[in-house]
Amino acid sequence: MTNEASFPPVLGHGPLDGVKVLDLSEDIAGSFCARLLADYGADVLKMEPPAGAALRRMPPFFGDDPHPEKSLFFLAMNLNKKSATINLKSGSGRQLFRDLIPHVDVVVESYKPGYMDDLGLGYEALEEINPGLVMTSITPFGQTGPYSQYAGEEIVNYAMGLIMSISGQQGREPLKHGGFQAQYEGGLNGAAATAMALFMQGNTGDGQHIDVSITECVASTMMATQTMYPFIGATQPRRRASGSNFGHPMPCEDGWIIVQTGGGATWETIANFFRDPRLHEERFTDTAERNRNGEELDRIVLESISERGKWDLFTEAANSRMLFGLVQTPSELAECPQLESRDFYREVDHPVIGKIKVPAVLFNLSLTPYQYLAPAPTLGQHNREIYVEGLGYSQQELALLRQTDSI
Amino acid sequence: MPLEGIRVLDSTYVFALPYAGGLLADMGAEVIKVEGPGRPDVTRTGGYSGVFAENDLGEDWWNRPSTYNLIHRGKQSITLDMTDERGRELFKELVMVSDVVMENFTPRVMRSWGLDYPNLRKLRPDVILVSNTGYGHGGGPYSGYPAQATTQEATHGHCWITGYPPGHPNEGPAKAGASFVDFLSTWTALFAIGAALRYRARTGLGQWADLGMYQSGVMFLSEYILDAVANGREGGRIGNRHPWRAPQGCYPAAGDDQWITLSVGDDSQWRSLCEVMGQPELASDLRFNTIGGRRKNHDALDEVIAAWTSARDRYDTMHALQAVGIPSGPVLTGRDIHYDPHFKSRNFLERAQYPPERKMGERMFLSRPYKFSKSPLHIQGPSPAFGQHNEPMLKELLGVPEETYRQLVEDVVIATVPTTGEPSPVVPQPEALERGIIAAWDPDYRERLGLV
Repeated sequence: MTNEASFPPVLGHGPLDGVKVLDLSEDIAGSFCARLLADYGADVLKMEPPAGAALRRMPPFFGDDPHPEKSLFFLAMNLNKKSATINLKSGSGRQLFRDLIPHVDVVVESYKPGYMDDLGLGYEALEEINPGLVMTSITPFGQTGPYSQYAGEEIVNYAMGLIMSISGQQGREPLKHGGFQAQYEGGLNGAAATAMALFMQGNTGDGQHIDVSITECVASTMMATQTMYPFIGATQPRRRASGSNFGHPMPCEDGWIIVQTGGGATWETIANFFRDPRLHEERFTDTAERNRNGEELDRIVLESISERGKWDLFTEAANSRMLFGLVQTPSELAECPQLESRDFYREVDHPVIGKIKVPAVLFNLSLTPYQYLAPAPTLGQHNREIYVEGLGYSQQELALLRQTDSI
Repeated sequence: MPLEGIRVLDSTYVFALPYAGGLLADMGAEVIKVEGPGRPDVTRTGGYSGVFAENDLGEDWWNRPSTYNLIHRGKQSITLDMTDERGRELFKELVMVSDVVMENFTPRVMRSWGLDYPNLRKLRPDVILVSNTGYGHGGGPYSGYPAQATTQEATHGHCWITGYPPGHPNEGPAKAGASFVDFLSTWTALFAIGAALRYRARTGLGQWADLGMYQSGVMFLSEYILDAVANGREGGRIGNRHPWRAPQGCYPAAGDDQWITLSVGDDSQWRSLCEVMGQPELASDLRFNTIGGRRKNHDALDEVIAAWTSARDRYDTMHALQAVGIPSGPVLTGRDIHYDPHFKSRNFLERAQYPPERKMGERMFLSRPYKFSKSPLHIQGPSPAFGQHNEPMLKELLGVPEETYRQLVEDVVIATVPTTGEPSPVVPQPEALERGIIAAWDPDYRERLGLV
């Protein structure tokens, strides 16, 4: 029934085509937000302090060389952007920034709440220059409230965002997700809220100051955990050390797998998959009974997969319509045929790092899809383009801005 | 409101896109949730750690689960049997009057119903369709695989980097949180819809956003993948430690199962920590006075810190450390967040009042992690009862005649009671406490929260 001909031809620009963004963020969250805007068509200028955004000093580095152009984290978070330097601590730098404001739609920033106000560059001041401006501020605890001036870190966002209270095992310390999930979450929510505000700006002409709290992003995933209290007065715990393997990784011959009941598979299908006749007994076929006999269930299942390989199990489970996963490593992900089929990775050619494959496409869009345009910019790579060609400063004036440490 | 006048047809199930629908309603969109009379949303069973209000199935258990009520706030609910041609026709009529359609069927289902993007476009040329599947549409080897966030957390690599570290008694890959990757699709959908609506407003053109949860999950591991590609390194598990800061961890605090986290970034923060701990001499201890030393001797350092934190109130420790600029915060539980002054001052939890016939009183829900200065957002109302808006939506919006409507009811093409499904087992709180299913219970929580 599908009629391929009725897919309109793909266009050469993104849905945010024409949107201009100044990205002042030095961290992961703000950078990721602005990168998503760039990925889907916005023209994003990263404005870095003369020493470069802090993210340039974050590992991992290409070849483990802590060179400011070799941070792989900076590379991943700043694809498709331009870079100009600006010193907001100097009066001339701040004036340059103000001069750019009438020409842009969005400012993304992640400084401590109040810092931009102290510089005279808070939302109220910028809104006077450009009433349609959307300013997206992404911070650990948000712009208001008793902890707004507190310092955040991934682990603190995770602890206060409830996730750690249910992660790890009972009797052991709570556990955080690996990596920097909270920062990515902050960036994605920032991009979502910004896109909505841009839609509204197009309709009404009004801008908006958007206040994103990274901790609240983390907490927003805690639907069952939060509601358990105002629904039955209870607190959700971490998992028990045994008797609760379903829904958690279990070791098999060459790695780990994870299985969950539900989806299109009946318990009978699952019992057959594990090839142990005991699983057809009533203490396992009945849901409530199965929960009570969790420890024995764990033992049977672990034994049954101890000599089976993860990829064979993965394929067999899919054929049985089971909800099933295997623990993949980063290099397995880098070679994944499914991601290949979605064109998820793109090869970028970075002036210092060279050619490298990067995770690129967050989601597929039929008419105005993701476009890879440029690697992460080198520090101040576009100063001339922005200040001379854009704002009309002369070459001599640009030199003066440099000498006075304004850029 | 950002989405005033926008109508969203929400034919989605479980967590990811249904939650996006709830958040769109918060922004002012009219969101119509569509379920089959014999295919109620899975969250209506109280599964996935959901619970029924007051642990009571009431007369309509399918309207009482916690997660269902959080996700579907502010929506309209209608039922349509999509296996009946009349159901599909009514769905198509709804598409014609909707700006956005969301669905999360497996790729072949919408195609077989003639409701895939090329066909929806014929009904409404500028429609914005959002599809969410585990692995995304297309010809990839896993595209047809069943998937759900819990199991995908392993496949997309998060479990590889999450877990107690090697040498710990409970080492090995682990999951964190609950169905984490669902929410990445929730927020990706909001981003896609905002961008696509803006584009449509400028050009008149709609399009199809095809989300794969696997893809978003892998995106959140970008730096690990680049480290593998560039440096041949496979990441792995470091528990609560930080890849370069030290010390960092989650330490015991005074009280039962109370914890405090902290993270020290440089030598000056380290000296501050020693001062706050009342052990200034530690600052010059050669084992700990450099970042390299603190990383190498992290175990010993953890003991020193735990000895200090374990006798102290977790909030006192946070305030003391934050006062000198050290990132620190307590592990908050689902109970704690209702009483924490910061979340309170930001109204992060919002109340929804139910009509008397729902017998749900008033409940509190997570709101949103973003605030708009010029258009304050709020939960627009409680979640609807199953099929609550069949009549206004079908009769008033689509103009279905009374007689046809009565026939639809009679043939169970529409319904207000699900024809299938069983509630998840209800475990009384004292038993749940004993079995470790819940960690704590406040029988007087309604008074404490001031819930009507």
